[in-house]
Amino acid sequence: MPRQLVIALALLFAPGVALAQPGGSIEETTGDGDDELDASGGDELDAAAGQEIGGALGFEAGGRVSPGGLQLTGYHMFRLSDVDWLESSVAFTVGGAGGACFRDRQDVVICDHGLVNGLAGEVAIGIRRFLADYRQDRFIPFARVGVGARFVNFSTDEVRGVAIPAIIGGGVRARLTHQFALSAGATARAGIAFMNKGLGAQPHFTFSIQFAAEFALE
Amino acid sequence: MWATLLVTFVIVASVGCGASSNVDREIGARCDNSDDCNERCLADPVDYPGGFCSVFCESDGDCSSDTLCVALEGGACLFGCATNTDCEFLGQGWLCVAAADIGGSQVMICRGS
Repeated sequence: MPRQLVIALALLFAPGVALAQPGGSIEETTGDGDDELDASGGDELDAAAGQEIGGALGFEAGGRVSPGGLQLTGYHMFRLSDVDWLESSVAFTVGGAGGACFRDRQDVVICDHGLVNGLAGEVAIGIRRFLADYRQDRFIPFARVGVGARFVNFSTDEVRGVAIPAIIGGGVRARLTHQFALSAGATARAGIAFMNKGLGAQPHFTFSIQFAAEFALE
Repeated sequence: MWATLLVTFVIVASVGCGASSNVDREIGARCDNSDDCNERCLADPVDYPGGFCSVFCESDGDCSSDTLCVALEGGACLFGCATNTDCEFLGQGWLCVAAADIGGSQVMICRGS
């Protein structure tokens, strides 16, 4: 298993690491399709700083013991290579209140919250990879994977806990200037939550969409 | 690699999509007071062992498909039954007994001994 994990990580990150080598460039390492980058002029815009910050506003859908609602996210990105960025984020999700937990006839607590109930605070870290081969002028798609730690709270039911979700998502970014870009994306979270009230370990699953503004740090 | 990650993610996500219970906060959940229910808690430990979440009703149309509106507690939805076996899912002390429905006819419903 450890060997498989090493191989998997190597396959995932090897292209990006290669691009990050001194003297390397997209032209040298990604093949014929990248000639278009020079013609578009977008490559020049993306040759910006090694760090960026961003803020996103979105909507998260949850259910059961996974919160959902309005989602605010702040994040910092650190360039690892031409295509890979280390992304660390803080996010808050605010949904509606209302009781949705009950005790079944075996006295087991069951919660069935709707799509937009509860509160969550999250810290997360992951890798965002820009998919240079699919670039269209200023627009470049990206994918991201990561892991988070979330505090989850449903106040009316006094149900709370900590969730550890895997995070996977993607989107499109449009760089408008050297310092400023806009992006839109979708993110799914799946993992496990450890809840109080006798709920114990519960599945945690949400889906969200976000719209973000991103700023390069000189 | 990305496809593998996606498939794994979907499998993990699908774990949480199973069914849960035949009772809920509206009808049938255990309760101590009305905060445990959507509407009200029938908390008498003799008539409703463990407590029973229910709703006010004026006809069977106000109740879910497997419950009946009976002339108890000012009109309440309770599970219908044919034998005591039908009431076992509610726990110890629940029996299938006769009661008057909201129109005065006799029906069989689950209630405490």
